[in-house]
Amino acid sequence: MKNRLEELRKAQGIKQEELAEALEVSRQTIGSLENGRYNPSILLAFKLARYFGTTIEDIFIYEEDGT
Amino acid sequence: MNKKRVWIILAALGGICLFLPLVLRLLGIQIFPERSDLLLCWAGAALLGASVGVLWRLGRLSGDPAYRRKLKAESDERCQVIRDRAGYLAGVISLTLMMTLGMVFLAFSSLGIPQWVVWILIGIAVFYGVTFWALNHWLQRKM
Repeated sequence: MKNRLEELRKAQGIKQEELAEALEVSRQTIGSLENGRYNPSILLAFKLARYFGTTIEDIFIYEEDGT
Repeated sequence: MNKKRVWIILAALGGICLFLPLVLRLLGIQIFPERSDLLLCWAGAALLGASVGVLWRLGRLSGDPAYRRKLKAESDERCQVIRDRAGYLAGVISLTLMMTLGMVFLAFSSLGIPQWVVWILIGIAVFYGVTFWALNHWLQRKM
């Protein structure tokens, strides 16, 4: 799933380590989220949205399969 | 009773199980049946080792916030998913290998592998399948 996580993080001048510590996850998890290799649980998605003061839909871009 | 106290009791129990048979043997007193004192020593050593490990970890967790954060991050949701998936795949690979070897040994008795070894290999693979099916059903209802 595509997302704007890296864009939002850099816009606020936050490092991956700082974001990981704030959300109580590993830095690798943040990296995987930003690369789209891992999709977060609903709980983590809510935490991310709350951290950036926005909504889940603003961070994560849901695209239907092209069929 | 808090966690630390439980583990201290278990460590003490492990220590007793480990050293009591040894002391009795040194004194020439036979209370336990043949060989079971050795089993008790092993069980005691395992319990003592595990308890000491847990107590050390609990001590470190309470006194080191950086370690606590590190541990929390290492067991976050992504790491948990990875561990579960790796465990599942490792289990499937191991069981497939076991079943295959069991079948090969059964087919080629000239290899000289004892029959009980063959049936244990096949039995473990079957047990895995049955347990997986049962747990899957149970978790379907629970979740």
